Amino acid sequence: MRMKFIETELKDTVFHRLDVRTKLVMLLCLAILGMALDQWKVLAVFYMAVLAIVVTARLSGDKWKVLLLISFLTMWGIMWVQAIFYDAYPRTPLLYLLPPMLVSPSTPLIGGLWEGIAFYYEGFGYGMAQSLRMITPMTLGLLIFWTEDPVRILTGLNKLKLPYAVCFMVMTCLRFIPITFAEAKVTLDSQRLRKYKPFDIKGIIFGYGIYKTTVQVLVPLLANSVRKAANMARSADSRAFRASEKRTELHEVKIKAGDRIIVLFFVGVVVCLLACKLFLYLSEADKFTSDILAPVYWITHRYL
Amino acid sequence: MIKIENLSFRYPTREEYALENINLKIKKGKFILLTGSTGCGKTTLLKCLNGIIPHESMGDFGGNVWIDGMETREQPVNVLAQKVGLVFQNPDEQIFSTRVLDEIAFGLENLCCPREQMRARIEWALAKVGMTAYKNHSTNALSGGQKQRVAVASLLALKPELLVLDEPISQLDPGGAQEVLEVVKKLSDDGITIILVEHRIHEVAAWADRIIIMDKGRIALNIPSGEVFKHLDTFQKLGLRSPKSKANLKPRLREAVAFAEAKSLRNSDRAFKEDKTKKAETMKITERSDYDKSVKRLVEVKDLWFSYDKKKAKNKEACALKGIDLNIQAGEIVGVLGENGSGKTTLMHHLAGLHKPQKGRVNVVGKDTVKHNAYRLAGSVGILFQNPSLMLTCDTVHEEVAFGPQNLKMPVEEIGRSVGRCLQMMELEDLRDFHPQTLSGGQRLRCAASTILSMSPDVILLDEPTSGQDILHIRKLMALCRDLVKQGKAVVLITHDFEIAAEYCDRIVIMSGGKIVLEGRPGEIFAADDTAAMMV
Repeated sequence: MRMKFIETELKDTVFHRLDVRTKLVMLLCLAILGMALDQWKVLAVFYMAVLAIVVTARLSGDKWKVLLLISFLTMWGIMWVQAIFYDAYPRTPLLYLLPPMLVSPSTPLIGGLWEGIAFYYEGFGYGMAQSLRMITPMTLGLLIFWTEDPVRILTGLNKLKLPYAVCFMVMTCLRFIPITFAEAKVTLDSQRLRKYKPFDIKGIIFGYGIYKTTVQVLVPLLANSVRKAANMARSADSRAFRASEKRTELHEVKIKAGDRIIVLFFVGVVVCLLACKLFLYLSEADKFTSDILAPVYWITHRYL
Repeated sequence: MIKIENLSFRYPTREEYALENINLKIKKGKFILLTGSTGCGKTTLLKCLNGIIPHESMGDFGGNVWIDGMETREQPVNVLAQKVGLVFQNPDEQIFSTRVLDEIAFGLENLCCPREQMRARIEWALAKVGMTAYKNHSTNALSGGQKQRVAVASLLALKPELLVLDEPISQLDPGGAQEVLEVVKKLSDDGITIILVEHRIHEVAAWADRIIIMDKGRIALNIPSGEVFKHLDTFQKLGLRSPKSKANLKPRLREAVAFAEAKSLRNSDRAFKEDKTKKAETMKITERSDYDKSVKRLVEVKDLWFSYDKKKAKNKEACALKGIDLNIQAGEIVGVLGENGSGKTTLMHHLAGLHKPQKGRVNVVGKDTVKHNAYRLAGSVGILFQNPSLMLTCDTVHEEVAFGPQNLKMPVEEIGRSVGRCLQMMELEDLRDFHPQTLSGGQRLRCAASTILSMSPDVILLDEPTSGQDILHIRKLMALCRDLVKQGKAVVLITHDFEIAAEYCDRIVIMSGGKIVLEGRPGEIFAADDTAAMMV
């Protein structure tokens, strides 16, 4: 059984040729940017930029489908949830599910619903920002996973001073993702052949189906993983894993000039953004204000 | 090379000793076959050789083990790793890298080997196992035998004195097993000491210099392999397979493949393009007319073509199944044999309704699998997957066995009767309240088999149930299959075990490259002199 959406695609594109450390730094920077930025429009610009990078990596149609599906479902779900649970003011109701004043504020337990339940315009915006924060680094993360050999990711993480044992665990997890998917399919198939529908619509709507299926799939998967992990640990030990503090590497990893420029650019953008945010915070908290920084305050307040 | 003196070991939670007073001397360069029934202490002995016991596994440890003059008690595991290499049953659980080159380098990098020396050792190790041409290949693209050879090479690169292989061929087809055994024998000839643990004694005995049999933590027999036929009673007494005068049963596979290549492929080409009824021909030793037509056909497969990549379905070479024709009647056990990747499991998944034919038709118990998926076929078809542990999802063995019948809405009394009968047949009554995942490997297999049998399906599909099992458990399962076919069921058994197929199957189907290339009765499929050899 082949699951193309989890297989690495090794091609000759600019993104493929980048050093894995550059890609990991880009990912880290995007995660920081996502957390620091508030305006959904700016976040959308970053997301579009990441999608442009994905285009240059010439991914297969299967992977595009998966990427867009995951992104759409994440964005759609978060936006609707935030639209209905948005509690900041001002807020503009678009559609009421429960009209205001239908419940008296003095009613026990549900008195808080006196304002009604509605989808709020501002909630959609907030949800959009939240979802973009999530899907931007997720998209780049998937792109790295799809374009890099796990061994190169291991080497890259190790070169970024992450302990080797941790890097090795990350690489092993990546290597076993396709196998775990295949194993989950066996469990689901065996349930179907015992007249059990793991994804019964009624069960999903009421939640119990999702819980039951998750538990029933996880139990054999985890038990199998534990057994596998024991064998893998023995196998790694028999090949002197962690025999000494240092280790040599078969492949020499050298960062190129182009990689340095990209890293500097991304780090520079993050540093600038964080500096802008810090200046605005200090100004708003009356701790430090300077007239020279007025344009910075304005741009940060309005766009960042 | 290896000296073991008065070795005893007891796990903390057990009362009995796993190893009791073991004394053993093995000379450098010898090839030892270590065998015994499940739980006899083989794996515990291996752990003592590479220092996992006593360094990482707690328990009462007594006696001494020396490897190349080094006492294991005094040396850490990572130092012993350079002396003792361990190869495991499942190649997928010991390959960490995605490229062959990186996999071999893993151990060398851990030992801080300089880059130039590392490259030289990688080349040497790959040459030793005949995998030089695959240096830059993806490990995922290798066959089972090739993966196992890569696993051996990754240890060889560390230049161990002793290579310990724990059931390395149990999941391989005969071709893959042969590849691995040839490599191991060559290494032994080059002076590396080999200890190979295996249940498939009949396939390995001929390669070994000595055979050591363990029973209840003790050494029951330690003989040169040439003397094995003087001790057949010991093999029988301990419930082990008897070694054979010839290494293997050999079906007329080569003959059939040549036949298929000469005639059928051209026909299948045309059939595919012209959409005619003529498909990949099968070399049928027993014509279908020999079978009793009055008996109900439970499975009918006609001109089945299937590709995992739908876009490439029109490219016949990319198809996993190429024009399969197969009928299975009530009351027969059909053995499906063939190398890894020949399409056996894909065919079985079609019979269970897990795949839909892209061309052709599959009817199971009168139901077309295009209209009846796995869910709708439940109760009519049961499948025991290759890894039965993945089928066990409930909290107790009893709940697990009752899961299918309950979903099928069988009456409560009938569920009780069916579950009770299955638990009794599979010797699981005492374990009914245990969590299925806490059972031993053999018990999990029997539990998974019970989950199917409790639904009384008409067609029972078994995907390599003999892998890694000792002969007693295999015989019990096959005897049960015999009983079931007498009740009008049909059993389809995928196996690499020619001996079991020859002994228990009514009909053998041999697959190669997605086609059935040979079909007939066991006596006709296996060469006569080899079948005679089997009876020794």
